[in-house]
Amino acid sequence: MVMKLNSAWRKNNFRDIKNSIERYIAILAIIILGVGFLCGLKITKDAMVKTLDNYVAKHNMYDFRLVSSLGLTKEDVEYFDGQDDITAEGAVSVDFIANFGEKEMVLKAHSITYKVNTLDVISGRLPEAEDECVVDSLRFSESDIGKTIAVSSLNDDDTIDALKYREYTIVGIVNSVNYIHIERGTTKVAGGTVSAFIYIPEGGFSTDYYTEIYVKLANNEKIYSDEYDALISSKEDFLNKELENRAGLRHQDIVEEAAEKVSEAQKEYQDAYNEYLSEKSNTEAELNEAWGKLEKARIEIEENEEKLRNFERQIAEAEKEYNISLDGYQKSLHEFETQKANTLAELEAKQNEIDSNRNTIISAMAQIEKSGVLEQHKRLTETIRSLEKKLSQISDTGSDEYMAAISQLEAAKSALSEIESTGVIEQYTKLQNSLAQVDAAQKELDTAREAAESRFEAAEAELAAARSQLDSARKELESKSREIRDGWASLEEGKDEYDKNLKDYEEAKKKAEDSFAEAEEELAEAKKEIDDAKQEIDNIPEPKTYVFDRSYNTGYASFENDSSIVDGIAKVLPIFFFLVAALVCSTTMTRMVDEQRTQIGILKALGYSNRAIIWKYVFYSGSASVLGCFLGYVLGTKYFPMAIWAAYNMIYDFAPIVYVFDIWLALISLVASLLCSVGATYLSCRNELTQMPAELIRPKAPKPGRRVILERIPFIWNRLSFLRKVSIRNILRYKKRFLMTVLGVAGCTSLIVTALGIKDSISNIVNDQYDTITTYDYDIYFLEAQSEEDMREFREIYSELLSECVFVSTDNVEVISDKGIKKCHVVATDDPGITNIIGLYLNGEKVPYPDFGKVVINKKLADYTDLSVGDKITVKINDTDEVALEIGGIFENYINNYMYMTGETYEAFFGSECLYKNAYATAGGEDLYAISASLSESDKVASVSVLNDMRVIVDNMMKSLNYVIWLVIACAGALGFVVIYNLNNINITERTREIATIKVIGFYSFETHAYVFRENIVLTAIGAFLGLGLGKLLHEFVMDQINIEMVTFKVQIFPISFAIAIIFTFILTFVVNLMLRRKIDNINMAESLKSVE
Amino acid sequence: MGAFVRFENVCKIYRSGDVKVTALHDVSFEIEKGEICIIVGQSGAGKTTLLNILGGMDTLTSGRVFLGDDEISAYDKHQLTAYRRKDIGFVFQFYNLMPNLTALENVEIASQITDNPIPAEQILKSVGLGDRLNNFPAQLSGGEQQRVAIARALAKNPKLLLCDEPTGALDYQTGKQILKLLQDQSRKNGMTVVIITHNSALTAMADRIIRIKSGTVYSIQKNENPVSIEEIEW
Repeated sequence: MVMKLNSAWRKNNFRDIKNSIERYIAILAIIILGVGFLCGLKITKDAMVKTLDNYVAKHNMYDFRLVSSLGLTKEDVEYFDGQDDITAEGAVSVDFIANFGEKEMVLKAHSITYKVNTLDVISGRLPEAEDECVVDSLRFSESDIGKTIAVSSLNDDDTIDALKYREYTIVGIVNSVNYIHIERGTTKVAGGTVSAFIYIPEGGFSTDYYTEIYVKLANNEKIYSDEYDALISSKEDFLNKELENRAGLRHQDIVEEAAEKVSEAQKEYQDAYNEYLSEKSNTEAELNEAWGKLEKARIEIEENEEKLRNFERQIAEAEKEYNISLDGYQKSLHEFETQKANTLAELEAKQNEIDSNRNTIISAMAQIEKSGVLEQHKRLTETIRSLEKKLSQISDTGSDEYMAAISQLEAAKSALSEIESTGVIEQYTKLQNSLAQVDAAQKELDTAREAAESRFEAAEAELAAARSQLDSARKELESKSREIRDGWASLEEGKDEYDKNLKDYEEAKKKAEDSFAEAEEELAEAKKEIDDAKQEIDNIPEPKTYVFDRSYNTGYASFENDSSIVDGIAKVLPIFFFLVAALVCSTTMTRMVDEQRTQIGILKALGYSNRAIIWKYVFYSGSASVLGCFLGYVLGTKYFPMAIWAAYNMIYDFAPIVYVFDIWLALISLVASLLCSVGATYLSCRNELTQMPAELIRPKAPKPGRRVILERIPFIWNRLSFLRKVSIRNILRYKKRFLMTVLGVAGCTSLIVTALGIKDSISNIVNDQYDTITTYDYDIYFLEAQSEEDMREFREIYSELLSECVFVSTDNVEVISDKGIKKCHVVATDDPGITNIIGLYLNGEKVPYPDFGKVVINKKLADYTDLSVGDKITVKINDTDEVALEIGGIFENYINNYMYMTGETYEAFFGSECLYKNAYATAGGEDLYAISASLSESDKVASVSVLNDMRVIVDNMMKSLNYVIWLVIACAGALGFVVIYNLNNINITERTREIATIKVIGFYSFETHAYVFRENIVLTAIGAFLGLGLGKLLHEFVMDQINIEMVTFKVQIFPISFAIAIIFTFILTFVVNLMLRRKIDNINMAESLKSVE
Repeated sequence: MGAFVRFENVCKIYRSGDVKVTALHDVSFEIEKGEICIIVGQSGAGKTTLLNILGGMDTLTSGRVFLGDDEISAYDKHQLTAYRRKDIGFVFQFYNLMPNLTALENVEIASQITDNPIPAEQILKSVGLGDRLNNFPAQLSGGEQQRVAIARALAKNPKLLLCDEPTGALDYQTGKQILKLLQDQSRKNGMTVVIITHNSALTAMADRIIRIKSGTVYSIQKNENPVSIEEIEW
């Protein structure tokens, strides 16, 4: 068969495609979606794994991490490095509180390793100096290069000592293969979570041993693969043994070192003791000397005192005498003085008297004189006298003169006598007499005075003499006294000195005694310490060694989980997706061949071979298929991983996704898509081509119209409008079309339901787990097992901060069953408060805490081991022993496997004591982290883990998953759209003639639409509802595939999801109908009806 | 031997579920080379069935069909295809052109699989469609379409030209033109032409007339003096 390039045959073929381009594109689109989804999802896990694999290989991630409780030395590193196929490098890590600018954060500092776990430098460079560092790209950015990280003074001394410098300068931003997950780990240091890591050169630490050794095996096995696991387990024992050996050696070294130190200490002690003894005796001798001196002094003082006393006594006597004399003198003096005074006083008084008398007299005299009386008197007297004289002279007493004189005299005398009668003169004379008396008195007085005075003088002289005697005696006494005083003073001084010396001595003695006592104490202590140390050396624990493989690295392990989730979704869902696509595709092709029946007949009639005709249609579907497959594969394997990776970028941000090409996947999807498109085409072609051309040219006899069951119910049937009847008949008449449409739509709806269901099953477990099951906020780890007393104390101290605090004993065991081994956490407690913080439910019913001898386990574990209530579950408690426990109840739990029991049960069955080293507590206040910080401060507490942190991690994981789900929903939606469009399109093109006819008959536009779409909608509705049921089944199936160790998913679909799926399907249908309206309107009546059959 | 086409006791029974329809019953006849043979009968008589069997378009239930020395009825599918390709030119009642091809291409699609075709353009010109070569069937009238169909059949240069009611959908004048064409093929090019019609008037132009009635041959007539179509009026 020669086919010319531009033959009519070719032209016909191409034009057939061109004129049914919608169908062609529909097939193309469906295959792109189907293949894209299938390959995209399936390859994502591989891409994710490869991305990590590349990264891990590029940065030489460790295969093992060796840790010893005694630390590891350079020799240990060299030892391991020297083994075949092993590269080993030692590393140090320290958690510390850092100050960065104004922020305070907890950082984990690692030493930079160059052979294993090499760093991925994002910007800047690696440190060259010891005080440089590179930091976590999660928390720092390029603009931070050049700034410094300071070691906070809040760190404890050990931490500060471990880091050589107080400040480290940032020179680069890095990613580390140790931290592919955004979680940075927990720490004992304040707060409990590490914010970021920093890497410092080994020299930046000042410890002399390594905290861990990283071991890398010479291998190129892919991560997570069985080969890798086999390799790891083959080397694990070896490393374990070697590490134990090395640790044992180190232990020995430590013991020896310690023993050495102890004997050194012992020697030192001896020396010290000896020194002590000699010092002691020295001091004692000194003290004794001092004491001797003191005694001498004391005796001296006593003697002196004696002397002084004697002297004093003497003086006292002298003084006594003196005093007596003095007294006498005093008395005499006093007497004298008194006398003198008296005398003087007398004299004085007399004097005064005299004076006063005198004065009085004088004054009186004066008065009198003043009065002139005297004068008068005087005159009178004189007169008298004269008169008298005169008289006398007159001898004639009877003279006139005499008589005159006498009269004068008488006058004078009478005057005088008058005056004298007044007494004045008398007075005056008295006065004068008095005066004379007074004067006489005065004289007397004066004489007396003189006499007294001379007497006085004499007496005074005497007294004075006595005085001076006394004075000199006094002086002597005084001087003697002074001597004594001095003597006393110096005695006092001497005493004081003595006292002081005594005091000093006593102080010194006391001090010496004290310090001896102290020294003795210290020595005793030291001895005890040495003895203890000796004992301790015996007690130095055998080293604990740990060989951690990568599965202990959070990032590595959780990445496996997350990529497995994607894989789980990819196991079933894409296949179903593909099936739907395949179904619709093959339907389309079959119907196309059906449609082309006449043309096939003509070609056959013209003499074209079957092969040629089949080729024509195979080319149609094949080209669509191959092209679709190619595009689907390329787009799917590029964009799915990219989108899913972007979703996971939230928690893994270490490298861009690496694209993987899986030849098998590509081939399989090509074969599959060819099978459904080309295969279907081929089959239906062959079917047609078995018939003779005549048959084919003759239009297919339309199926006989038949009565519909509904017609037998006249009640309903008669109420329906004609068009409705037609629709019902049509729907039921073309069974194939009915089936295909319903299935196609059902398929799409079920995909949406499944996708939403996955979201429902996954998204709520976080809330369920942390809000209803593990409702406590903190898991507190204690350094040592807590006694009842400790527990009470702890509860009391924190009664304000914690509203619940239940102490539990935890253990990790393995559950053995026929199916295999599962890890399980055991929680044992006798505290009834456990039911307040752990919610045990199954299907909404509360599960009671188990009694003695029974345990409750989580549903996933029960399902896995195929056990139920009443059965016995076997638990491995150590390497050799197993124990069987009766299951008292089963509860729902979403994260990890748990087994709860009472403390008594634990002790009875596990054969070991319940060590209450944990407590589950709920916060009594608002600030979750403030409370946890307070809890960490207790020196009994080793660390506090806040459950919220775990919740956030799982939440993040779920959030990422959400994005994946939305991607699936979007694809399901796209597929749904294409499928519904395609099916409805076919439904129209197949009935072009019919539609044209009713248009001719005179149906309005909207009536024509209704005619077509009514059926479409009914079919879609039936398909949608069927899809709900199908979706539920598919969902269960898919959830079964998504199996992660750590998490159980609650297989549930919320009613809202069903609603959304249905609504969405209907929306799609309406949109499609809108788009197809135009097509209906464009049906050319004339041409359609004219078209040859 | 003279018999070019030979039917021997041909029976054709259609079965559709339990329904049995006997389209042809014990049909036997012969046609000689270069003859114009007209098969007449009423609608549903079995004419098309007969032609289909002859043209390798359908199988018979029993009997034998010969073209020359070849037993057509014994052909397998592949041989039948080859038979249709090389030896038969079929003209349908309803043209059955490829809607997506132009007139020219419609002829080419047949001629390109033939070993010894007449150039499409030439044959189209000869049927008077020289200026409609690039029109699609939708752009052609019924008569034009039928002429394209005939051109398609003729382009193959077949041994046997089978026409099923070629003028059924055409008007008087156009029909006559078509028939002239067919007649010329026989007269001028010596092609054996078998025409089915229900129009008895046309029998005048035939060399042989086979009358079919209810699936059986009613009569076979040889016409010694076939008349040219131009002279036939109806």
